Amino acid sequence: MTMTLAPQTTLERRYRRLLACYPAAYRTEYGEEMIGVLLASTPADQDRPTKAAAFDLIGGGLRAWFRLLRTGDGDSPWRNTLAVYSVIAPVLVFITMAGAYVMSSTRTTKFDTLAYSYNNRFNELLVISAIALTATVFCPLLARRGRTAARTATTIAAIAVASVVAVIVQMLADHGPYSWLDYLSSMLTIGVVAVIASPGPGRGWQLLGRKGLIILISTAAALAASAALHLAGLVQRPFNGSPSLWNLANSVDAIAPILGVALIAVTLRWPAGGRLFALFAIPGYLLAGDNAVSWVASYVDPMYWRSGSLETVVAYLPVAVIVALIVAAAWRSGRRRRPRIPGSTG
Amino acid sequence: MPRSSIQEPTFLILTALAAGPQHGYGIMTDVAQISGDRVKLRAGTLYAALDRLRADGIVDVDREEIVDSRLRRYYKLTQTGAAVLAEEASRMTANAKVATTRLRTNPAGA
Repeated sequence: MTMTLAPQTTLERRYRRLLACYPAAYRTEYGEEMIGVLLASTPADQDRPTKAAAFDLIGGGLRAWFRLLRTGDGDSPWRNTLAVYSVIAPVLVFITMAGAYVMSSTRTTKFDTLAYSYNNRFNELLVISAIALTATVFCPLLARRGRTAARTATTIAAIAVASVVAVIVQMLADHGPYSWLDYLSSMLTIGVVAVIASPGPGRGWQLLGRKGLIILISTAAALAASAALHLAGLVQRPFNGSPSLWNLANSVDAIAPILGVALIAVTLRWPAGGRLFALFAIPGYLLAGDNAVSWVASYVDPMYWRSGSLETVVAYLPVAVIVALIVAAAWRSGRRRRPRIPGSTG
Repeated sequence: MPRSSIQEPTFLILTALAAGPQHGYGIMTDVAQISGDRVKLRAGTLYAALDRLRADGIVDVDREEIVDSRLRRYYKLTQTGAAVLAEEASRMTANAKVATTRLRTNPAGA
């Protein structure tokens, strides 16, 4: 129920901003009631929430989101999105990494240094991929037996183990100044988290259908080709810091997990989304990406800003715009579908 | 399989509702009073608990009112909720009885 009959005070506006961290369905059900309780429990001379109240609301919002995802109540398109993603992410990563690993171990090119670097990296990613795949298999099995807590625990443990393994392998390899974060594939992390929140890959397979499977296979092939290009040095890392095609390709990689989720959401919400999905599947690396974490880290690192170039930043902009448009489209699509509540003003 | 024990805030919320339907703010003040100001529920915690308890069929909405242009929703204990509370109270009483008996026979706990 949404009511805005009473004039809003500064305190109320601040409380409403905090309530924004709750799912929309939760706010619809409890929002106005909570505002009333929050205002009633706050001294009259206070115009901002206390830190404790703010943390309580943020924590409550996170619990509400987790509960919504776990129980499946709420926005089903997003749950379906996660179900599809929980299939796509591990399959794509495994195929790509396996293909690239085979190439790197059998081929000697003039880019020996680059190939060595990727070889080590693929070793680590293969380990992480295997763990993620294991989690992807075991979690739904546990879920089928109604052991949601076990599924969650297993998944979190898989992520933790993957992180530790990545660190250890990197230390053993000792092959450069890479951060271990670079090896914790954001795509895998999102994929594994998707497994927690989704009804499981079984539902994802159903939603994908024959067309989706064709797209998935073509995407995997394109991913393998993309990785091969990187490996062969045809798309090179700009060691001297100059902007290049690598920058653009890598920036797409970095943002791709978010892009992938948004694309799938559009696909499931909007009939024309299927064509859009297919279009983006051709350059398959759009759905890959293992650098989002390090990408974010690079932006908060002052060293990066001193040495970074404006061109590099500009390279991210088109991707950011595309992501924003797709998310906006998905959001608008969701708004159109949302039933109006009689008597509501919002 | 026996039901797992409920947490103290939840127990206190159910205890507050055992006296009759109450709205959110009423539950908060009642819980503070019952616990001797030891447990002070905040809105986020309270509504997370109420949402969960409603989903489990332990509490339900009794009625809604508009007071000063604000929605006020009253919650009540369901029959299931009353049974859960009674079971938990019985379990806690039994535990307390054992603890009291043992302390009486061996006050130092040695």
